[in-house]
Amino acid sequence: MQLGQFLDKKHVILDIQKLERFDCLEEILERVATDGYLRNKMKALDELLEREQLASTAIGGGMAIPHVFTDEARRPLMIMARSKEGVAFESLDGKPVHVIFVAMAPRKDKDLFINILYHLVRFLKVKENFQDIMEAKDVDGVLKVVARAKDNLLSEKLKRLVKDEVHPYRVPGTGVSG
Amino acid sequence: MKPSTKDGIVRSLRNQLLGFFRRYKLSDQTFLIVVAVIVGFLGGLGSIFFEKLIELGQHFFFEIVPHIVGNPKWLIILIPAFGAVFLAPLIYFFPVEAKSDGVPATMEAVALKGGIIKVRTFSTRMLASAITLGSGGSAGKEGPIIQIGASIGSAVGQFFKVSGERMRVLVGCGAAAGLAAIFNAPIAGVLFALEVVLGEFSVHSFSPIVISSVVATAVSRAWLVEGAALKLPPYTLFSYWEIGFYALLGIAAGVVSVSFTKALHGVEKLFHRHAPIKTHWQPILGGLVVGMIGFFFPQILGCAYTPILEAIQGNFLWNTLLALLILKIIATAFTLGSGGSGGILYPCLFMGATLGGILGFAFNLLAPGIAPAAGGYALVGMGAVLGAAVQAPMAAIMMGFELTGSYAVILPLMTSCVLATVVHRRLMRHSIYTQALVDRGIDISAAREMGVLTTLTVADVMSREVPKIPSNMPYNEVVQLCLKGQGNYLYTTDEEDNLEGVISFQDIKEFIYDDQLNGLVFARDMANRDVVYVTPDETLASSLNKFSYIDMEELPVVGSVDGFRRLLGIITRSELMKIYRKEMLRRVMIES
Repeated sequence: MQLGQFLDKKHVILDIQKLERFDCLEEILERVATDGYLRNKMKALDELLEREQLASTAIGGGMAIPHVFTDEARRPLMIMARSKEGVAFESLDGKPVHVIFVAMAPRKDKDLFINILYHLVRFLKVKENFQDIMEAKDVDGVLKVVARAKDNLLSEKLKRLVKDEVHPYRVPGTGVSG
Repeated sequence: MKPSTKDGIVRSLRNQLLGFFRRYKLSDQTFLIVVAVIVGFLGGLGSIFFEKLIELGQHFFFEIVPHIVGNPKWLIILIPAFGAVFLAPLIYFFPVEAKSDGVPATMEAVALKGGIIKVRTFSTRMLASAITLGSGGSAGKEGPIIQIGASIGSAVGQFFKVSGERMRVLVGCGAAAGLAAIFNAPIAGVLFALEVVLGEFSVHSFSPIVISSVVATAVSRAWLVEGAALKLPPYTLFSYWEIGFYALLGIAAGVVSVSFTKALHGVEKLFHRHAPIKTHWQPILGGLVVGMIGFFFPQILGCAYTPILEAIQGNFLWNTLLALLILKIIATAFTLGSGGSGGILYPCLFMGATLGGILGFAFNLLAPGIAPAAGGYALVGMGAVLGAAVQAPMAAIMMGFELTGSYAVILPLMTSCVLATVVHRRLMRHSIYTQALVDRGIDISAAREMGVLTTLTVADVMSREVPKIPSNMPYNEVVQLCLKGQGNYLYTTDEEDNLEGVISFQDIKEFIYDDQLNGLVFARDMANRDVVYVTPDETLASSLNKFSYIDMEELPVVGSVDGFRRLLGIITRSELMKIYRKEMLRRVMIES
C-alpha cells in the first residue's frame, strides 16, 4: 500500500484562491467531491477546523498537512491543494504555504493514518518532490509525483490487521475493544 | 484455501451484527444480554424440535414397526435393541458425542475447554437421543436437551467470537434454555445451569442466564402442545409433624441416589471391560435387558411422564412401586451404561416418585392421622433423589416448586432435598455427573479453582500510580516519556482527569527515532480511544478474563461517575497472578 493510493484524482486542486488558512480549508472541501469518502462533508470540515485551531499544521518549508481523525470519513483519504500566491498558515517559519495536503481517516484506521502522515511528511520534505508538485501542469502531473513515494505504508502489524479483518474485541498490542 | 460462500455469508452476517452493536455502543453486559436472548430463542426452538424428533422416533418404533410385523406381544422385548441397531453407526463415527449423558461433557467443556463445544455435537446428540428414547430406552430427554442447548450457546458464542468467561456464560444460557423449555421450569433451568453446569453463582452470569431461560420457556410455551411438559398436581402439607417423615424420605432418597449412581457406573465399567462385542454394538445388549424388563413393566420404557403422575396419584400398590423403583435403576443403568444416549434427570424423578410412593404408603400405615396421603411424598421424593444425584439441591427445590406451582411444597422439599444431598455426599464423594468425569480422570473441582478469583476485587490489588498525560501533549514529548518511562503504556486524560485513551509503546516504536511527526500529531491522535478497562468493584476473575482476550499487560481502573471515566489506577497481569497464588496457598492451608 503506497501513499498515492489515498489520493483520488478528483481530490487535486491546482489553484486554490483563498489566502487565509481557515477560508482556504473551507474552499478546499467545497471544491472537491467527496462522495464515498465522507459521510457529512460539513461536519468533517468542522472537525478539521477544530483541529487546526488547536495548533497550526503547517510544518514549514511552504507545506501544511491539515488532518483529523473523524468518523465522518469512511476510509483514509487525502486532498491536495496548491496555491501559487501562498496561504497564511501561521507556520513555524512564518513563510506562506503553497502545498496543502488535507488528510482524514476514521478512528479505527488510527495506525494506518499515523503511517500516512509520517510518510507524507517524509515525502514532502524531499525538495524535488515539493518543486515538481509546484511545477506540475495538470492533475495527472501531480499524481505522477505522488506516485514516486514507493515506501510500503503497511508495517508488519498493520498488514496483519488489514488482512484478517480486525476482531472487534481483540486488537494486538493496543487493547482496543469493540 | 479459498473461503467458501457459506463462510463468506457467515462472516458478513457477523460483521453486520457486530457493526450494529458497535454503532449503539453496547456495553459488555448489554451485548451478553442481547446474545442471551438469541441463545434462549434458539434453545427454545431446539427443544421443540427435539421433542418432535422423539415423538417421531416413538411413532416409528412403537407404531409403524409393530404394525409391519403384525403386533406380536413379545415384540416389545426387541424394540429397544432394534433401536440400538440404528445407534451403532452414530457411535462408530462419533463415539464422543453420541454416547452416554451430555451433562458431564458440557461441564467438562465449560471447566476445561473454555466453553467450546463442537457444532456437530448438537445434531449427533439430538439424533442419538431421539433414537434411544424413541425406541423405549430408559433415560431422560432433559440431559440431552441441556447439552443441545449448551452447544447452541457455544455455537452462538463462536459465531460472535466471544472468549473466556463470556463463552462459559453463553453455554450456561443454552443449558438453562434447554432445560427450562423442556420442563417448562425457567427458575430451575437457571439454577441448574449455575449450580451444575457452571459450578458457581455470580452476578455477572446471572442476568443473561435468566433472560435466556425466560425466552426459551416463552418460545416453548407458545409452540409446544399443552401437556407435553410435566405438570404436577398441587401439593398440600397436612401437618407440620409430617416434616419428620420428609426427613426420613430425604435420607432414603440419598441412599437411592447413591445406589443409582453406583449401578450406572458399575454397568458402564462392566460393558467397558468385559463386554464381548465392540463398543458400537453394546447398546443392543443393553436394549435387550431393557426390553425384557419392559415386557413385564412397560412403565420403565422411554421417558413418558405418565408413570410418575400415576405414582403421585396413588395408582400403584406398594409392591409394584418397589419393583418399578428397582427395575428403573437397572433399566437406566443398562440403557446408559451400554452406550445409549439420554439423561438421568427423568429417571431420577421416576425413582423419587416411586420411592416417595412406597414411603408415603408406609407412613400412612404408621400414622394415618399425620400422613393421610402418599401423593405428597412421591412428589417431594422426585426432587430429593434428583437433588442428591446431581448434587444440586437448589435447582431440585426450585424444580419441585415450579412443577407443582404450590408454595406449600417448599418446606418438605427443602428438608428432603438437603438431607438427601448430604446423605449422598456422606456415602460417596461425587455426584452422578462428576463421577462420570472422575472415571475419565477429570477433577472438575480443581478446574473451578478460578472461583478464588471471584472473591477478590480489583480495588484490593490495583496500583494507584498511573502514567498519565494530557491528551494535547505533542508528539515528541510523548515519545520522550515512552523512552524514559517504566511501563509500556501511557494513559491520556482530559482536563478533568477522565480517561480518554491509551498509547501503547508498541504502536509507536516504528517512528520513535524520527521527529517527522512533531507538531502534527498529539497524544490524543496516537491514543486508542476504545479502551478495555476494569472498575474497582469488579472481581479478579472478570479482570483476568479481560486480560485473556486482549494482549495487554495492564488494564486501567476506571471509576465510572455520571458517565465520566475517572482514571483511578492500573492493574497488572503479574500482580493479579501473584495474588491468585497467595490466595490459593492460604486456602490450601486452611483446608489441611
